[in-house]
Amino acid sequence: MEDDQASLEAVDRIIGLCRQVESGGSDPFSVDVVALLEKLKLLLGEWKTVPQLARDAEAVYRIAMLIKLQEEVVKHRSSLLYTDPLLVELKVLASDPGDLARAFLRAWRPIASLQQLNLEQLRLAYDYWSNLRRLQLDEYESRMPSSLDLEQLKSMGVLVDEVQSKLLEEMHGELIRRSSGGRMNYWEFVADRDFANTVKKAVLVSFLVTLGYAELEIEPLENRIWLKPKEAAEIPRAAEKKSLVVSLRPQGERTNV
Amino acid sequence: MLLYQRHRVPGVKGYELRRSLGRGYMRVVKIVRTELENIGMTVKIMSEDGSEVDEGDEERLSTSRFFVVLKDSLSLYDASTAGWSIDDLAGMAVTLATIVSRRGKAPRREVERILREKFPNWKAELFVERCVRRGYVAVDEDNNLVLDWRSRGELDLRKFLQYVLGAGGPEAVAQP
Repeated sequence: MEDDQASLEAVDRIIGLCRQVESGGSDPFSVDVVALLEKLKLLLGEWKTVPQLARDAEAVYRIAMLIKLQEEVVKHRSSLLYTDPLLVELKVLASDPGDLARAFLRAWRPIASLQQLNLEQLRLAYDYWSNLRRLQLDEYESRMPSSLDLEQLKSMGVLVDEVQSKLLEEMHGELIRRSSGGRMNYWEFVADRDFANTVKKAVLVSFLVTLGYAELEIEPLENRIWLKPKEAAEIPRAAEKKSLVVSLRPQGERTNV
Repeated sequence: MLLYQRHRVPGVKGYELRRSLGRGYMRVVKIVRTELENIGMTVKIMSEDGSEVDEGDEERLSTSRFFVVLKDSLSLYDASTAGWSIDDLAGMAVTLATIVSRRGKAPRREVERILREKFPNWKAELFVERCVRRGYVAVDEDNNLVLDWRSRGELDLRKFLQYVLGAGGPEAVAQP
């Protein structure tokens, strides 16, 4: 038991060392990768449980990241940008601020930009302001503020009951069927026999996308939106999260904003 | 469009220019560049990863950023007139040179340590903060400083390191 604990600590030390090099920006070649792998190979026979094997896998992954870092260093050193960091540090410390400022200015071409309103922006702002609906404050003035419970909010349409998972599953199935394994135009999919059903479908589709059952592909130039279903819900870790506003209008007219 | 700033980032994307000017927008950009060069500015095109863009590559141009930069370098006098003190510029030079020489990423404490060798504590922190605020440097989740879009857009990084290594030499003094 104690041996296991000591071995696990050794693996943790390997993981810690790799992380330190990765995040600290120090020289990745200062770590003897072969020795670390040999050590892991020796310890591998001792692992019996899944958590132990998981720890071992993490150590191998960290070493792989370290090797990737070493590859980047080799690429950087062979590029035109490579200069020994120590040499740069020594030069910086030995130089006068005025000389450093001049060196910076020689390579610097600052961006020219405007930070003020023009007539076009003023006109847009005026149009926006003119089209804003006037807030009807008069009718509320005589009333005291009060609180609303959930039922009242539901009756006003501000809140809705939770979307049933069965409905979502049906919608997901329909999307997979109609897209035939590829992607499908968003508007073709949400359009239904009447406006109320179209809105309902658009809401359900937004849930599908949010939960990772489908993804949206937007082509801004062509003003087209595509829906691509997934067999199982999946949201990539590196996915860009953003909101998309879709405007629906009756009589089949629609625009996205 | 080239000069207006959207949020923190100035300039305009290629597809936005195409939407406003049509498919031949690069012809307009070239004419504008010629005109701007007469008054000491030029149009720079930078791809999303900060690299140079071939002006015949329509696909990459579409997602690249177009903006206006000064054509020639500023003198110390001009820079100080524009509000940059010698210390500000030297602080930027130390910060960026340290990051560039370390493969575009350096621990913040390391950069501040080098800055403290030349400037007081409060100034060292202020310089780093300013670089971040002005878009020259970004901070990653491990508190490392990495080059941000503005460094790639405004600086010729290769020449910059050469100039830093040659700082104080006769060539550096005889700048235009």
